[in-house]
Amino acid sequence: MKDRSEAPPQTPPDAPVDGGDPEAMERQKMLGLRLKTLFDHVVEEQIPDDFMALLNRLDEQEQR
Amino acid sequence: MSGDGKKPRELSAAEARAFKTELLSLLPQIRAFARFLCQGDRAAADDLAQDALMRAWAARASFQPGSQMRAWLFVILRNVYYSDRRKAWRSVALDQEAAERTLSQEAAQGETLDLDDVRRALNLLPTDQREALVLVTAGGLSYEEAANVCSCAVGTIKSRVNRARKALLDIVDTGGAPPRDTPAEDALSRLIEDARRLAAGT
Repeated sequence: MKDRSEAPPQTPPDAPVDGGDPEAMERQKMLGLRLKTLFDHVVEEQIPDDFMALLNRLDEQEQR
Repeated sequence: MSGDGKKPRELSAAEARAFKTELLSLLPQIRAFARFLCQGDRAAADDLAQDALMRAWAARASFQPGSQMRAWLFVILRNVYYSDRRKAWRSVALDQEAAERTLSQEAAQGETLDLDDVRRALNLLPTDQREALVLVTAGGLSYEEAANVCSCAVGTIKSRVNRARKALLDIVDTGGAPPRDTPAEDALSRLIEDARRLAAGT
């Protein structure tokens, strides 16, 4: 059995955080889905009128 | 993004229309990234997104048609965010403390990842980890694109994403605050990025 008190090797950037443990990988996958859901919730919101008003104002200023 | 001192070229009417159309199509993603940067504060995020929109409009002649407008807009948004944050750092620190208290009081006990727990935990991550995780995992940017947006090396982005994932799961599991220690390599990259931002005047 390896002595785990020695400094462990550094996890390469692309490696799974928990060294390939299926349960941990499943949680990471779920985390990714949750983050995507949170992002998509905002993406799917109706754009507030302020934004269109701002763009139209900028456009009009340009055409003057 | 024309920091080279050259006079920006004039846009043709067709180019101007195309720019506006693409900008409009990307507004939802700009708002979403802003929302994450502003830790879920909708009003602050929309103010930030509108500031970024004005900057992008003013700099539109420097945008290269055919290149990635999304990444270009994210860079502008991020620059505006860090510029504003430097002015209001004290208020951000207080928000973070409030968020930590909320999470500690409502620590998740189950094994499932509740959406609200993830949202709250995300707001406790250091900004550099939060933005890297959101850009790559939720925004769908490649590591290379995210590195370009964050003005850092691809390896740094990969490292931040990995640390963010681990920290986020730890926070959800324990209801605690993220670890405060940062590796020397990352501390150095932050210093370099701060120096770049100061040099760029953003």
